[in-house]
Amino acid sequence: MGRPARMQESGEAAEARDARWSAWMAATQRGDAVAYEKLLHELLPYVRRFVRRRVFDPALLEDVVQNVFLSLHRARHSYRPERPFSPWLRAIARNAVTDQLRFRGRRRERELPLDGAGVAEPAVAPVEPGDDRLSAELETALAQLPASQREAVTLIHLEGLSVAEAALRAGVSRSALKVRAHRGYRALRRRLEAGEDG
Amino acid sequence: MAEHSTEALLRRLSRDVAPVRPLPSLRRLSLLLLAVLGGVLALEAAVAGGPAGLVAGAPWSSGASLLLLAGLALAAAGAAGGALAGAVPGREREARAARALAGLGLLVATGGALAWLRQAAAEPELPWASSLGCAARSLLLGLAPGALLLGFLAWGCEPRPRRGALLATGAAAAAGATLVHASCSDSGALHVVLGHCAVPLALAALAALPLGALLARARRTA
Repeated sequence: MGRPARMQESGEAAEARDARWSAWMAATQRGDAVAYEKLLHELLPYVRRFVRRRVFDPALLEDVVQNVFLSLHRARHSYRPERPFSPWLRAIARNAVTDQLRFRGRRRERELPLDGAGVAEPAVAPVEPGDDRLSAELETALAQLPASQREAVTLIHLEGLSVAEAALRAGVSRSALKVRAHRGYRALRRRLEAGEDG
Repeated sequence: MAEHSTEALLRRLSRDVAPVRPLPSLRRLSLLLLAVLGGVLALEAAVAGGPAGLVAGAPWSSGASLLLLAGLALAAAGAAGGALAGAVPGREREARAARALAGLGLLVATGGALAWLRQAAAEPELPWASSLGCAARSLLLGLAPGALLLGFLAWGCEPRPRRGALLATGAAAAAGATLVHASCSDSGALHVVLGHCAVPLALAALAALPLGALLARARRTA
């Protein structure tokens, strides 16, 4: 088969795929869970490839992929079935990747690494000598929290997810997640204050 | 994070799915916005004592004033288009084009305002009272279209809520200022530049700060 013929075939395959995804998303907007499950599972390898081209840290990859799906879930009302599906999906994925990288960049600027290995110097003014101890204390205090509270604090405060997104990730209701996060913050504050006093 | 947790997330998402109301098309929204502007115009005409009152202002007398009017109208159309298209994923190209149009409108309006300053008779002292009156009228006239744009931003998916809010309030203020400039009979140099252009746009930019923060907060807690 010659190259033009192959390209035409792949173009037709992409169009057929786009039409299928578009139909599933239209059904999803009407509340069809089966169509949504099919759509999400077919999108997974596509989204992973998309994210892999932009995120070079393997430890971060799956987090970003999950954020793309959370963004897609939240933005599913913004799809119009008469428009092509792929550009819509790519725009959501691009924004989710940018948000996540920007958030992590800001966090890295605020925080000091526990050990210097493999972590870039923060692009901020010199920090007082005691500050790295605070970062280590926070890490220790976080590790001492019950798993559910630690997860809630990490998802909302460290990964920057919204309450709804974090609740979906954790598989609990929003109110349950809020309660866990609130208890987590309170416990963290207590532990950090006790550490400062001692 | 392990790949199996992504699979689990997808299962949870598909279980969580509820029917949603799709966003209206951009064409439909633009028509709605135009209808709202039409309503505002009708109201303004009623207050001004008929349609003739809408065009009783200074712009028709000189090129500089017409340039200012055209610039404000372009800025309003561009910023409104930018706010609408920016809230719909996949319409980035249209959003960029609209923002460029808004920028061009601002440049044209600035050029018109500067030319007007050079040619019109300057007032002996700063006309704050009349300028603030016209600026307040501009904002009042832009209230309904601005509310519509902000409502759409809250419903849509603008990735940068602060920019969206700035475009929405800017579009509303520029649309109001266009109407005021077309109908205001005070042709003092400073009054036109301050009351029909600088003050309403500056107030719109200020209003965008808390509104953008609100939109960003609503997005985080949604």
